[in-house]
Amino acid sequence: MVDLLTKRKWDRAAKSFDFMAAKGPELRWAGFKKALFSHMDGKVLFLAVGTGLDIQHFPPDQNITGIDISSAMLEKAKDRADAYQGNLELIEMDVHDLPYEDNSFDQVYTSCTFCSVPDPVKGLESLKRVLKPGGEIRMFEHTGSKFFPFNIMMNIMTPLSKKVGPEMNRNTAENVRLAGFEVIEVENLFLDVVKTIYARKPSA
Amino acid sequence: METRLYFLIGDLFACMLVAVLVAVACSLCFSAAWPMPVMMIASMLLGMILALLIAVVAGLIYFFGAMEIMVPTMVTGMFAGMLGAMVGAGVEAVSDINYQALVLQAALLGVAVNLVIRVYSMVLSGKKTS
Repeated sequence: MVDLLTKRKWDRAAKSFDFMAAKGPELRWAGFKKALFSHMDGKVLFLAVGTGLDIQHFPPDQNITGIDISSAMLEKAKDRADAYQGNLELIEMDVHDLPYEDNSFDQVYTSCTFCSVPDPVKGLESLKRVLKPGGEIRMFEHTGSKFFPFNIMMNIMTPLSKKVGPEMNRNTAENVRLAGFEVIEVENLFLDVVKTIYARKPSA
Repeated sequence: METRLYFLIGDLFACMLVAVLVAVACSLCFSAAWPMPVMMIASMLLGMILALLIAVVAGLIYFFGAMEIMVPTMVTGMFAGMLGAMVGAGVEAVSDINYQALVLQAALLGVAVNLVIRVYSMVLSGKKTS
């Protein structure tokens, strides 16, 4: 069942999402995202495609299923998806409730997603279920910080920030471990807040 | 580690702008009538919230990035809020505030926070394999 509260929040956010994310953040992280997505191979699930800002960084000729809980976001992503030189299907879907069979995808990608998924461990477990054994999850995420004063500040601000968007104090790398993935590599890009996480579903 | 001039200048500008605006705003909001501990906490919270608003409204997030702007500007806002509150509490009337000195102090605070965060980020950046 779709989480209607989350869906409504991101439907509302869709109106101003590109204003907040399309210029500065994209310019800053485009190179890192291109490098991350350059590993795409096989049948790929891209979680929280949003307004499709990340599509420009996808390598061509891939077979990608892009999902998002917000229909308003996906509506905005449509033109960007149409311009993609490959097979990209956009579907409205809640990560907690994926309708795919077990072991359906070779890889999963996320981009600034698990700051917002209401139950991150359950969401990651859901992704693990649809990922083939040995399959990779590669994530570009912002998380909380372990260090003063950033940790205190982000804990204070999260009750406010989550009303309109993401939670600022999540420990996503730990959540990936808790969901049963084998974390291969975490790379900090800005403080210990913006990072890439590379993990794998155990083979056995 | 960010090395592009556009972002180096943008990050610095964001911290300085937020520091100045928050410090001035908090100097007007707080006075000697506030108990010191309450004033410090309240000005810190107000500073963070104002910093976030300024980052959005002034287009700092639009031009320079999301968390990479929000985190430094909110840290700046915390300290600039306390600076402004102390200045506001240290004068008899709002008209006695030396704004020239406050703006200079706040701008320097913005520079300091920017530098500390840059060093922090340099130390923390990189890959960790398990």
